[in-house]
Amino acid sequence: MTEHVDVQLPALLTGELGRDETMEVAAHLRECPTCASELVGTAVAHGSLEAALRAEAELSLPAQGRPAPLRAEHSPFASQEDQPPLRLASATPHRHLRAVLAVAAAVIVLVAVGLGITLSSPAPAPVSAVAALQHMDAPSTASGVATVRSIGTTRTMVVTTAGLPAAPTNHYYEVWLLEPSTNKMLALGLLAPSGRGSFAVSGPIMAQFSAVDISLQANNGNPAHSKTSVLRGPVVAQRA
Amino acid sequence: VVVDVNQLRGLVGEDGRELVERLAWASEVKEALASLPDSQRESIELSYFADRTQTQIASDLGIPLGTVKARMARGMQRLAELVEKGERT
Repeated sequence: MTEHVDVQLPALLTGELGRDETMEVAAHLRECPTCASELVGTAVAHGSLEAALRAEAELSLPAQGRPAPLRAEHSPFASQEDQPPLRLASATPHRHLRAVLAVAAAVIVLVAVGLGITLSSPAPAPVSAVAALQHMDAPSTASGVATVRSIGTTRTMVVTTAGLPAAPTNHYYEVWLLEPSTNKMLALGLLAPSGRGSFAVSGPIMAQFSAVDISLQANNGNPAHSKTSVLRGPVVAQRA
Repeated sequence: VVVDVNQLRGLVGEDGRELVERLAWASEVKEALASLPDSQRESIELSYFADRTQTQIASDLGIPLGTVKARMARGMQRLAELVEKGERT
C-alpha cells in the first residue's frame, strides 16, 4: 500500500490537487480504511465550513455591519469578534444530524464510486487585494496577513496575525486603514485576543486607502491613533 | 407593545426559520473553529474565509507547504469532532 494520504485530504476537497495527485489519492483511499475514515472527518469539517461561508455570503455579512459596542462613534465597521454568538438551542440537534449525515453520506458515495464525483463547493467571493503585514514596533517574529474579498460593493477584510504578544492590561490592538501619502487613517475596529478580526468596508471608502496598520492602543478614551504601530503593510490588488 | 411570539413566527415563515437555522449553524461552526489551536485555525481560516490556496498560505506565513498541509489536516479532523459532538474545548 502506498503512503497514507491524510494530509492531502483538505486539498483534495478544496480542489487544489492536480489530476495525477487526485488519482494517487483516490487509489490509496480505495485500499486504506484508515485514510477513508479520515476523509469522512475532513469532509464533515469541509461541509461545515462551506455552510458557514455560504450563510455569511448570503446575508452579506450582517454581523460585521453592526456597530461595535466599544467606540462605536469612531469605528463604523464592527469586528465580528465583538459580536455575541447567535444561538438557537432548540434547532441544534436536528441541524447537526442533518448536516453531518448529509456530508457523511456524500463521502460514502464518494469513496464507493472511486472518486468519480467531487463534492460541490459554492464559488467564494474573489480576493481583490492582499496586504502582508510586517512588524514595526513588535517582535520580529510577529506578522500578519489582511485579505480583502469583494461581495457587491462591500469589501470584507479578514486580518490574521501571528506572533503578537498579548496586549498589556487596559490596552488593545486596533486595525486601521492608512493612506501613507497623506497620513489619513480610518479605524476599522479591534483585533480579537485571538489575533484576528473581520471587518466590512464599503468599496468607495476602501479605495481611499493603500495600506493596513495595526496599533497598540491604551483604553483611555482617546480615539486617535496611539502612534504605536505594531504591524503595517501595503494593500496589493490581486488580478481578477 | 406586547407581541405574541407565535405571530412573529408566522410572519417569519419557513424560509425565515431556515435562514436562522443556517445562521446559527454557521455561528457554531465558527465557534468551534475559534477553539482550535491558533496554528491550525489560522491555516483553515485563510483557506476557507480568505480564499487562499495552501501554497499561498505557506508563502503568506513563511512556513513550509508540508506544515500547512499537516496543520489543516489535523485542524479539520478536530473541527469535525467538535461539530459532530457539539462540544467546545
